[in-house]
Amino acid sequence: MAEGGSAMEPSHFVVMVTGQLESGRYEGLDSLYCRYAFAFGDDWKVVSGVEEGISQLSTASGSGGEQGLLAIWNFPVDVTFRATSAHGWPQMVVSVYGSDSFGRSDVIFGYGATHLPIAPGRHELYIRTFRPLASSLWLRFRSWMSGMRPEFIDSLFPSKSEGRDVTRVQSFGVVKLQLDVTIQGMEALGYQMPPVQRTPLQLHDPFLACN
Amino acid sequence: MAELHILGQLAGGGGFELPSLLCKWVLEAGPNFRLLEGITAGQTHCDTPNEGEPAVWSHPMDIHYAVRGIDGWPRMRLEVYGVDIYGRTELAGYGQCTIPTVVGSHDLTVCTWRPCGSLREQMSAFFLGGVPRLKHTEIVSSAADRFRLQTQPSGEVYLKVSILCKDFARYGVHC
Repeated sequence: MAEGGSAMEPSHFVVMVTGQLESGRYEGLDSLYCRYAFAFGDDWKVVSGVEEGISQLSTASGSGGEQGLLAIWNFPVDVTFRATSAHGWPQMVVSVYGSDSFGRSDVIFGYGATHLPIAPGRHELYIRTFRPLASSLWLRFRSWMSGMRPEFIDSLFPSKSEGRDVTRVQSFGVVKLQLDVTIQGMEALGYQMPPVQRTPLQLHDPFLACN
Repeated sequence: MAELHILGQLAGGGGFELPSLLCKWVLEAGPNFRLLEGITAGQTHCDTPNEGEPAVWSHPMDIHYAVRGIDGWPRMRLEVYGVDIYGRTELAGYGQCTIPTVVGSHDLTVCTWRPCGSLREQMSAFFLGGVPRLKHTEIVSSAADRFRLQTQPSGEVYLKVSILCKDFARYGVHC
């Protein structure tokens, strides 16, 4: 199917991204869920798969070992893009919500974004997240009292570079992604392909470590 | 014409003394590089990380150049500012880095510096705040006129940059 398209006149390439939204590390927070969405330019189109998703609510209990407590989502990501130009390369925007220590639910804990890898292969990505702060001390106190934290109106704001100079944020927490990237037809368009990312060598047997 | 894509983000900064940090950045390229799409200058948000953690800017970049010749490869100039506990914005460091010429993804660390100033300026900065800044920030990214400038080291800025080249091979360019 792909050969037919490129045999005539190569005009587009295809990027397939599969993998998972693996886990989040937010020390001191117990129940967390994660939303993801893709932000991409005008030359890009989703041809198959889902563009956004919401994971389950995971408690962070003692499974992380020395890394601290992890909330495990193991949430599948599978999407295929078609593009005519590399400009507007998709970004994955994640936002982590959960319940705070007073038991209020759907509180924002962090936004984050990253470009999808440009190299084919297997990638482990860590997105450090941040949340916006209220503009004045009084509003900050009020949001702390009411539990209504400021959020971005545009949920894709973390993927944009405009309008950032007026935002104040506090960074906290990390989201771990594991993605496999497959690219088809980019070389035919004249792009030089970056080297394939290989999985790092695993030095220990995971079954031995968790006796 | 060959094309160059610079994708990535200004990931963050660490090792600075001030609690809240932001960064101004400019991408400068020679006349052979014509901007097709994207924004080549900006300012990140101001992040107040937890004690001991680096500031997260996560400022996305997506720049598309048409390339006529390979000289004048883009170079990034960075100015890091911090907000102290009284809410005053101060200079935290200057830095520059060349954009890698190798196709693929790169994690870059830029070490920054700031001018010391005279003894009197250092005294006044110690008691009153307000460290000396450069009047002409162009020298941050130029090799001229640096002589006799006395500086001190500051923190580091972390960048994630991915380079994609199109049609470079057709013009015989290896990168």
